[in-house]
Amino acid sequence: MNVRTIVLSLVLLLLIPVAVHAAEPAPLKPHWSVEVKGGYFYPDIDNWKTYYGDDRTWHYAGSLAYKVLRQVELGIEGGYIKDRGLASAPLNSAFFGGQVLTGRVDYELAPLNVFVLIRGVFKETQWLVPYAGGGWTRMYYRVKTDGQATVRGSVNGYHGRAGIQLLLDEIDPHAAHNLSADYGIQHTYLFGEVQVTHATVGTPEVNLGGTSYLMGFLFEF
Amino acid sequence: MNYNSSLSLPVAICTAAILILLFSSPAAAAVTRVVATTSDQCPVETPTTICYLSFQEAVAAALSGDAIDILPGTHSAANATLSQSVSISGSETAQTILNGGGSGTILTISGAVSSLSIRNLTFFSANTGIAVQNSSSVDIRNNIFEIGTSSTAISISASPSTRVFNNTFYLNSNGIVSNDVNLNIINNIFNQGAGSTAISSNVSLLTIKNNLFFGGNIGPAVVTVTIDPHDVTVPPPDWRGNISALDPKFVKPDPSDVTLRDFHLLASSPCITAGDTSMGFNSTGDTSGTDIGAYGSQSDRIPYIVSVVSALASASTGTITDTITLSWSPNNAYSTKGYNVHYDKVSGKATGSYNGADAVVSGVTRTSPIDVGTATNVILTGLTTTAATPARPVLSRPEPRNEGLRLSWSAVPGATSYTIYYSLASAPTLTFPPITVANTTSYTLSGLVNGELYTIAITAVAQAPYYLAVTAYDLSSTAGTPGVQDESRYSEELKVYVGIPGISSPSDPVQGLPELLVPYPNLPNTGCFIATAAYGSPEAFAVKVLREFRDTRLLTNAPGKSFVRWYYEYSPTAAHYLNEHPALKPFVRAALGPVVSAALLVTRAPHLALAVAVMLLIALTALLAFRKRSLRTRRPMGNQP
Repeated sequence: MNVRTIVLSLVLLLLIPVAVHAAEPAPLKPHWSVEVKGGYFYPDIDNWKTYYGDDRTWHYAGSLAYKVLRQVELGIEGGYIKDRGLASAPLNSAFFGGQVLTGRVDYELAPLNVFVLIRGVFKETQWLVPYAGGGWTRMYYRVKTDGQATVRGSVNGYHGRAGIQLLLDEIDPHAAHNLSADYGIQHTYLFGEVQVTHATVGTPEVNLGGTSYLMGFLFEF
Repeated sequence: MNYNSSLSLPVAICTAAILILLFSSPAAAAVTRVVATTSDQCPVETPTTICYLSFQEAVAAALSGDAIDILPGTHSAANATLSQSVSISGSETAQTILNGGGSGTILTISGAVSSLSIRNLTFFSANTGIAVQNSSSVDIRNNIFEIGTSSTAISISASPSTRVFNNTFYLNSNGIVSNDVNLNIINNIFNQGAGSTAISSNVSLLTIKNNLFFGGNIGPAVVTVTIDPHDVTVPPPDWRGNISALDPKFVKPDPSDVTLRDFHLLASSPCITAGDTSMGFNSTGDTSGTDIGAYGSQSDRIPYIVSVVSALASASTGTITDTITLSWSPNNAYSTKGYNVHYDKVSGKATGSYNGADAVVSGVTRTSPIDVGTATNVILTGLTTTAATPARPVLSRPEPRNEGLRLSWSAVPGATSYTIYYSLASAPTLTFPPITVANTTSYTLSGLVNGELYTIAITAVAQAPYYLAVTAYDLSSTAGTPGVQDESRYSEELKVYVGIPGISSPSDPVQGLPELLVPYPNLPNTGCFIATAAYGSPEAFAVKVLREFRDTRLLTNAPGKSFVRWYYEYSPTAAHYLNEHPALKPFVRAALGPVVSAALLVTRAPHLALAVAVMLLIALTALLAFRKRSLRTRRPMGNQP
């Protein structure tokens, strides 16, 4: 079995809808969805670990989307990324030798995304839904250094995303029914997503974006 | 009587005595069961003294004839039931608190219990404070009841000869609820809230006399005499001497913290010597009679603790601190006669006493305690201790900061403060004014010049401490024992450093270089967008002025913050347009000139700015008035009506 066969089999597997009793009413096809997610953000900046102690930090986000079709959705997403590290002191480095890192730096990013997604969903009861998309990014940033004025600004950019959603309704139909009856939530998905953002600023250019690995829940209503 | 018969009688007596001794169990000795809040508070245990950390456990273990002694503190005390003749007393009424936690009954006395007393306690927060059932001759005296505004302080049923005297009931829904005729209610203060009832009973109670009722409903139609509490002309004789509608004048009943409430009486209180003396004369205050309330009759003899004590060390001459000025809030209870100041070179917390002997007050050397009478401050001088020289600290290389240096050094045992010496590295000695910092191991030197090299050294300083506390006493002739009798517990202990300091040799000098730190990544600040674009650099003076104005004048109030938000939303577009059309920059700079000037004036010389603003307002008003008048005079006559 070659790689192409494996990939093709997996794609087919993803697209196979689960069996549905004929007597059951057809599920609704909701237009709106809300998702909350969190995960790691790997900045696309060299030597990040030197200044911030790790090559990644937390990324939290939430989005609201409208499905024009079941396979196409438009949405807006707000996120928040924060890390705490040290600043450099180039004069001290030159005078005393070695790299002098000191003073607390709070680095914050707040990406605002407008996106289009294409979803591989063909049945409302499909267990696994792959999706991919991308869009415009407005990246807001704020850098607070001990005892110094706060640096803030924003810059335009773009992003791409891809992931896979796991339908939870069939795992616990009773809970799914209650969510639908009490809150109007028609489908609940657990999803994993990779998001790549690009938003450069300054001279020389610094890409404030990076790669995020996120997990979360998506509620369709 | 023959030999045998004369012998048999003593033998029989001895045999009987031996048998009695052998088969009769020895009488159990009465046990004092001490209730403490922590094991540290417990006394040494003996067969007749047992310590408990739970009020309920002590009550459950008690046998007839025992005593339960509750030490100061707040004790969780819900739903304890006593069915033995046991006396329960607190060490200090104000500070010995049984907290019911808002529900249940704190103490139920039930089942043929007779001749016991409950005294010197504060009952707090429950449905019922004390419930007396099927018992007799129970005395409830010298307690404070703050059970709750929808709760009952004392409930009595089928318990003849119960006496409730010299208690203070404060803001309970019901003071006493009883269906027992033989109830004696004497010398109590019922300070009730609106809609509450002091005494609730469906039978005619035996004795209700010399009580004070303030607020709420009294209940029975007792005789209240507000002018002469001893008026006995109105029957029935056992419902006389009561006072109504007069504020009892407590010292401090209102703090939200129950442990800070003081129900002693002010000198203006109508309760002073207004009580029935059959309950005994006052043990403190005016001993010629009996006060109404928890501190009348044979109450505890411990004045309320002295609070808000502060001390300031200073130097009488030169720079060596040798003087301590100590002050405190007065204890306003009428029974307080004066204060003792206690001092020592070691903490009294550890030893339980203060034995200082070298303080001078008004030219006289006074040993501890110093009786200062009714004064609420005292100056102790002549405190000339010499501290040992501490070890030399090790100063690390300073971390650079923007216009500052972050210093850190090793902690030195015995050091009470540190002195920092510094100057520019080019100076031959450390010439800048030294900075004294508290007993810490880090400090940020600020106000330095970026890019200049500084030399810094540090010394450790040790000074000898004096420990001070204040007590109030209630007898004018002799001092008592703090926290035991006639003298309050020690106030909060203060630690003050005085005397000749021991100063270590300076640390090895280190050099530091303040500089503007560079965050990573070093991003552009698009804060003052338009001004930055117009002046070409975020570091331009005008931009800095506007930034300072934003931070100090706009971001400190809601309208300013709204403006900044609006500006940040729209100005980047304008700044972008300006960068695209640099020919416009001189015009924008010209337009910004007055704005920058005004911002400079407001941030650097606010009073001058105010004066200029007022003058401009006056000039504008005058100009408008002048224009209006000139328009009126120029109007054609024909237009007039």
